[in-house]
Amino acid sequence: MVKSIRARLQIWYAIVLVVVIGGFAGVLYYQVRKDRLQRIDARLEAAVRYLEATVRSLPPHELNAGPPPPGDGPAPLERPPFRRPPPPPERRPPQDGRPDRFGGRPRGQSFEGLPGRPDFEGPPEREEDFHGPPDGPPGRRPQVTIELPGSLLDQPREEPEDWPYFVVWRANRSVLASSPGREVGPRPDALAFSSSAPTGFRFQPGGRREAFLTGPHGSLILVGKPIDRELSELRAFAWQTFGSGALVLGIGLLGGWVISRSITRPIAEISKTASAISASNLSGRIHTPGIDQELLGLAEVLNEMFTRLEAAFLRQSRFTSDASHELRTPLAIIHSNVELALSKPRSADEYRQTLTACLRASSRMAALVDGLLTLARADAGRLDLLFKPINLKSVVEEAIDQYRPSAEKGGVALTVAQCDSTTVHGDAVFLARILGNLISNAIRYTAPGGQVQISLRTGSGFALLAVQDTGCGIPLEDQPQVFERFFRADKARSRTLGGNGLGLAICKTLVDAHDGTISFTSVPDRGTRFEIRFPIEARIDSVGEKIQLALGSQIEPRRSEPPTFLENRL
Amino acid sequence: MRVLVVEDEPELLQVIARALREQGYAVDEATDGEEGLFRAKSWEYDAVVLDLMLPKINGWQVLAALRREKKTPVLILTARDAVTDRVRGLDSGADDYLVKPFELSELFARLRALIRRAAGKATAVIELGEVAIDTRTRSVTNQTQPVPLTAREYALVELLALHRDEVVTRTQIYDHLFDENDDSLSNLVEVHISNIRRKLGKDFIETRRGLGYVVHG
Repeated sequence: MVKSIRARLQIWYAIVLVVVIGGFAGVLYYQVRKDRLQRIDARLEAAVRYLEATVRSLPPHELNAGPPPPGDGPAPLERPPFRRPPPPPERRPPQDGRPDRFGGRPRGQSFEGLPGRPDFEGPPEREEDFHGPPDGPPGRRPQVTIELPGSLLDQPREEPEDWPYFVVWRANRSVLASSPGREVGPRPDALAFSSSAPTGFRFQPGGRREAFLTGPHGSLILVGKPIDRELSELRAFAWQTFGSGALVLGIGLLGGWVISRSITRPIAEISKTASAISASNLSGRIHTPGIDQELLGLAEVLNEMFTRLEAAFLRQSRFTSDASHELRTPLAIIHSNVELALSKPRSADEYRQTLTACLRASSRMAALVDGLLTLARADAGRLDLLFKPINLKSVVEEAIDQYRPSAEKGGVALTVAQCDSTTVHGDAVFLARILGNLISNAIRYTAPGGQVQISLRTGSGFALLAVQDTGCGIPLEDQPQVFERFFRADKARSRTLGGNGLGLAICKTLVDAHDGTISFTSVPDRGTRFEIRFPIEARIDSVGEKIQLALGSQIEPRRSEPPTFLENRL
Repeated sequence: MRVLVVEDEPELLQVIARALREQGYAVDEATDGEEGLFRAKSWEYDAVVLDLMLPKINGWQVLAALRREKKTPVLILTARDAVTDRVRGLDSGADDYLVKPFELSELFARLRALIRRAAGKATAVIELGEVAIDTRTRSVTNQTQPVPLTAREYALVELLALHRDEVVTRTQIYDHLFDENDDSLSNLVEVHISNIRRKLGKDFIETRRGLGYVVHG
């Protein structure tokens, strides 16, 4: 199979065209030829019928093969018929002034005695012409002179060979009559029909058409006419028809080629544009105006994809740029500190100071690299979470123990409002990291004297973990971006407070990995509340329900949440 | 020489400032764009070291705002190393561009070159008669003999040499040699001047009474 759409289109198109045009030309030629032949045959048949009527009107002894009538002598020898060429019609004056039904020609070329015959339906008057005394071989009858009216057949042409001709054979195969000036062959056997047979037609060599009819008393009447002129006209017609058909085919194929190119060109352009789009240049778009409707959808889909790709690449490059900035900064701190320390001999205290700075910078880098790796693994779908039932209460308690020192250092009260024993399905390390990130963020952004409160409660089908602070809050314009990587609401503050801008992005990624949701509400200068919902497995849920059922209504459904900080303050 | 370092990373700002002070520069610090721009506009710094990713006003904006008023040489010190960033920085009016992490020695050399070019001097060695001042090694020779000078004395000699044949006022000397943390005693400049005269000869620095000091090349 050809792999080119265009070539396939063209091949099919060509096949269809050839069939349609060839079929049309063939049918046309066949119909025209049939029509011409029918007209010729109709004339021949009319002549045959005329002759039949004429022959029928002859005395029977002329026709029968029996004994000749008295005085007829021995059977006449076959002798050349009396030649009397019909006078040229133009010289023949009209017999009467009546217009002719057959092309205005004077009718009754040979029936001088019957002028003004209206038609040839009836048998004509008998006209006999005995050709003198018999001089042919004995046993043969003399021929009878019969003339065909010229109007029955086409006008005689210049050459005698082109004239219409006729032969009437008797049943005994002798010639009864024939057109003048024509050699008559023996009566053909194959044409022996019964008297009821209809008129037969045949082609004869030399471009002649003959009609024949079995006449009265076993006679055979044959009228022939050269139709080479008609045949050559038909041939010319065939050439014209098939020639113009070929021309139409050629034009059609050319047009098809052009159209198929115009169909495939947009595809080529689309693929050209698509291939020109690379990571370094994502701004290219397929030019949609002028594209056909069928391809417009494809082009639009591709353009949308390019837009999404461009956005993704832009995000990626910004992320890379941010990551490189975040990595280079601690590197610069380490490098500069070491270079400065080595530039001249220092005191032990100065070295200690340098090393402390280097340690801080390298811890920061380590945290950053760790965060980047976590995100990269999550992006690649390879976080390798170790899922098992975890009691969130113990996670909260551990986190409190871990962060209490830094909270005290920052003058922030770290408290637990409510802590239900809630089991979720999750990874202990990552759950601790989520909570740790939120708590350290809350402590970082809360001024001394403030409060960070953690609560854990069980809802219907989910566990709700909330971390709420009385810190500086997130400016409204920055709220949509807090979960973006390397986003920091207040850069000045966060620089001095530490943090690398990945904490909340990592939280969101890890919560997503646990099929949970993370959300926040924040009022600038009042505080921020982060809420995480983890799904509780139906199994655990149903166990809870069973316990509740077993205990009857002893366990009252709690109010969803005690009044929160924000609610108290607002 | 007095430089301003605008850097939002406290640890980095601290180490750069310390290193520059050891090199004899008077160093002022700013941790965000707003503060940096305010300081850069209000003092005649010999050079500004400017980070680009700054809170409040970013480095490009600081540069653009500063350029509307002053021609202070600016060295951009940033982690952004893309060519487009460098081009943008230099086109915004920065005089030089250094990408983090960097070598302190390169930072020093670039700063020296910036200050020299701003003073219209192309070479690193300034010759004033018999006295040659090598700004690369921060050393002074008199008749090819090394002359030991303290960092402050050297800075004063360099300042006067960069503005040779011009009168440098006492205020200018204070502005360029002392940062805001120095307790500048009123007669500190006179003390340094007399020390330099003792080491390089009485006639090296000429006093223009009521105006300031001048050296002749």
